[in-house]
Amino acid sequence: MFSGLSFKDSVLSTSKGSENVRLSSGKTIVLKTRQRDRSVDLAPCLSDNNSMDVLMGNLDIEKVVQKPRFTPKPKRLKSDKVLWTEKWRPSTYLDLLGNERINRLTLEWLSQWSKVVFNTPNDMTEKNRELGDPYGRPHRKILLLNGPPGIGKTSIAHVIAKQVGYEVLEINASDERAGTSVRDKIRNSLSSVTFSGKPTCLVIDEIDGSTETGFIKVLLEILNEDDRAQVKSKKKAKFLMRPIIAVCNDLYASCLEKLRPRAEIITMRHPPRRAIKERLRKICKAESLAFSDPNLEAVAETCNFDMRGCLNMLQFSGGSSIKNGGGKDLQTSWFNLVKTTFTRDNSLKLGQQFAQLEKLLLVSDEKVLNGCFNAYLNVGYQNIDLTRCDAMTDWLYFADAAGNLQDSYSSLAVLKFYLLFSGTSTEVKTSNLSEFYENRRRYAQMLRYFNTAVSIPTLDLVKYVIPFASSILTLNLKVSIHNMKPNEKAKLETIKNVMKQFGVKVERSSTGLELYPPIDSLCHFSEQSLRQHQQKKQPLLILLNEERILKRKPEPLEERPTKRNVSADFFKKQYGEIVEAPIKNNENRIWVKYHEGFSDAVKKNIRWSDLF
Amino acid sequence: MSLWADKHRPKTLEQLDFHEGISNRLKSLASSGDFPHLLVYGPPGAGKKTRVLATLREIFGPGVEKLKVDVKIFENGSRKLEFNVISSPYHYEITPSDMSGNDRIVIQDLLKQVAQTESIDFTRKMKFKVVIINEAEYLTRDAQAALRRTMEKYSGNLRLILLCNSTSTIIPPIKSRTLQIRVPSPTAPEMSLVFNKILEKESVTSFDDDPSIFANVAANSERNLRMGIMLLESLYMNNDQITAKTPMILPDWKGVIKNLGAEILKNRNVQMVQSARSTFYDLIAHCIPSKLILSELTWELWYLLGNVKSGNVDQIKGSIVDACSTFDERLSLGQKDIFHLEGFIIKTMVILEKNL
Repeated sequence: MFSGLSFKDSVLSTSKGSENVRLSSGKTIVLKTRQRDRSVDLAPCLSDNNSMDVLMGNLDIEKVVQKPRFTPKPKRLKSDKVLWTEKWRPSTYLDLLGNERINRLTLEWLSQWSKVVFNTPNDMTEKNRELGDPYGRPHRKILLLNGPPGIGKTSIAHVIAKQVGYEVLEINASDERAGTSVRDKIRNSLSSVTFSGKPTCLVIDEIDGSTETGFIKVLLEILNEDDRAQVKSKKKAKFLMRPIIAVCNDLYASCLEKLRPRAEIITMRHPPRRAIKERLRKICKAESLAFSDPNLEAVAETCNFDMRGCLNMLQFSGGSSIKNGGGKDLQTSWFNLVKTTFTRDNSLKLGQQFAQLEKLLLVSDEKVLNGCFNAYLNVGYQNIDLTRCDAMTDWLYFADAAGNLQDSYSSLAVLKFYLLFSGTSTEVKTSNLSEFYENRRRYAQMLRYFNTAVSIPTLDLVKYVIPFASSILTLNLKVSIHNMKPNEKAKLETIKNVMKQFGVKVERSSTGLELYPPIDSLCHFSEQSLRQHQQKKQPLLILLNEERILKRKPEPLEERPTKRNVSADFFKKQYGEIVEAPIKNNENRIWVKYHEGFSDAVKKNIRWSDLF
Repeated sequence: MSLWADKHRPKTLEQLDFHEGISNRLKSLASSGDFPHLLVYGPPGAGKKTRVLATLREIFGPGVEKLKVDVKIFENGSRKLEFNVISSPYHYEITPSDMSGNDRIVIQDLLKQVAQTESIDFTRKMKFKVVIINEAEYLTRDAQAALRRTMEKYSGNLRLILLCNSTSTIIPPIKSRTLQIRVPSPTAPEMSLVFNKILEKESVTSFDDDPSIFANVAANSERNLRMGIMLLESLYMNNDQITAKTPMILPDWKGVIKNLGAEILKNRNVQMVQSARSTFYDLIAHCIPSKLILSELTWELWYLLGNVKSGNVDQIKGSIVDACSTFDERLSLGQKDIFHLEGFIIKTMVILEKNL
């Protein structure tokens, strides 16, 4: 029943006698393995968690023990063919994992539409009226959900739309949507009623595809028409009457540049680990899969807490239709390799385990090295002194340099980790770096944005230009826009110009007014200093926002000249005015030139008889 | 163009405030109507670019200031690379270091494109176009090699101006093909002069008449004029009245590194390494270049060790600088910055532990 066949092979080849291991320094170490009966040798290896096959082996065993064998009925077979990611997609609001606050924000935004769509009163209208939408719709008409893959962005859009009572109409990257051929489709969907009698809610999935500029243009057109319709009281005003939810991974994709400021942006993060594990456990139970808790954790870890990835892995490594699930998948086991590296197995001699580890690491990749680096300071069973770390730095450099040349060399540094830091009872913790990568990507994108805006080299930008610019964009004054001292007015003018130069705008966010792109977060490190800085800016932002609203406010409707009564009389009157006006010398005089000749522009009734 | 640093940037050679000798040389160069390829080097914020642009203006007239930004697309195999090119009718300006590694293609394509199209405007005095290459020290070896032949072959209608901070990474063949001009940093009094001029033009009165303010600003901006002017402006914006006691504004990342340096001197253990690691991750995430972190940290340690009373401080300082240079090299050769930054910290701790 053991699935560790490949492992047996590796032991065989080492037990031929001695083996030469050549280190990077050119030194050759001879590793002698004890001659032993194979069957005896195998048992302890497998009983410990030091082979990457063992996890899968254990899994098989547990399955056999806990799940009675039965022949699958045809019906069950059918359900097996459904992807679990589809099967377990949340279907009600309460099913949603993840950040409660974000879920609620989304729900809030969508329910603001109820006033227009379902004609139900809602209490959010006060805030909106203040923002300039007299119809009780949300201030921004498009919701842009973004976040890493597999955390349920599409799910949340579907679930919440259903919850509020919409019929979801999804347009995703599989549909033809390049160019403007989609215009009618969108327009129809925004005004039509479905068979079920429910209004539609447009969900646009994967909007950040690079070629969707035409598509985004259509969306912007709709938004612009809506803006115009608010100001003018035309008969054919095109109001946007249905919510639109857009979903994307990369918020800073270049094609979203224009849409971003017009959309309500909600950034989704990974759901908490505990919630993921809880959900996985539930699913395992329902699918009658026996996974122990640490195994589930390993699954979640390898998938980087991507829910969809977890489900896929569970289904195809544990589903009843696949017998030798997963087998020797590198991705599933890098974490275990790290664990193995730091675990000293007392039943084996140092050299023996070293040889084993070397065999295992032959197929290792960068992930193991990174994992080891990540974990070695946390290995808490003994007081590691600095000299050992110091010895490690040179090896790490070697691994880094060798990583460019050939992959197999980098495993030597991992072996060094084993020699220096391994111990009998270890608890290996690797910190999650996804936040770091996420932040780095976000800041790099922002930096690129500023780089194109001001065309100053990036080094100078981060070094001093942005920090100082961020501090220039503060103004400590507590007066309103009307009673300012002249030098304060000049300062305000400068601020506005600087903001224009950097392409920074004032935006309303969930926490208050903010600069967008968030220039402050790029140059402030601790939460504390960032918040201090932002607080200092609030009066300025309020001021700028006031000004913006003043500018944007549409003129009262009565004052506009109505075009209704415009008729021939109007022109006649004008003509009369011109004629009656005293003609000044060479001024306002109308010259008419007459060209002699003929014109086709004479209409005459013709009968058929005239032609024949 | 509303920051003081941009607004009050000198446009002509006459307006330049310091380094009169260089300005005069450039003037005579411009008056001849032609010039060789130039390699202008010097520390940041010394006025290299300003001088070059002023020279171009002297040669071509105010048309050089009509700038526009184009996004050019280059193809490298199947990959498409986008690249910003700033251009006027007379010159192009590129920053190849944005392209990290792909700069050879940009250099080859763009320069050939420029060089092979001859100007058909016969009324113009000059037949050649100028290409300014910013941050030339970050050009890869490949790119520099690609530059060599181009510089000679197309010298009829192409002039190159390379701008860089140090010439140590520029290969000798390029050095020999260019006229090298060094622009040193302005001295503190020279900087104060510029500050005074700007404040006068802006009619700002909120600065006390105390020379120590300007001296302080100059010292805090590493004698980088652009940085100094920006610091001056942010002081002005943040304070109603600036006296000699007004605290200077420090970029946040510098503060973070300062704290780190102090902590390293205080505790030397694995916990400290761990917290340093998270600090480094934070700094790298904020796009602060690793080499800048390393050098800043070394300077900070140098400064802090000056306060330590111990017999062999000088020896410690020496070995820390030695370690710094080792890890600086590793940063250039390797790719995993965090390994080497942490390595430097550990090395430093070991040095301190042994000797202090």
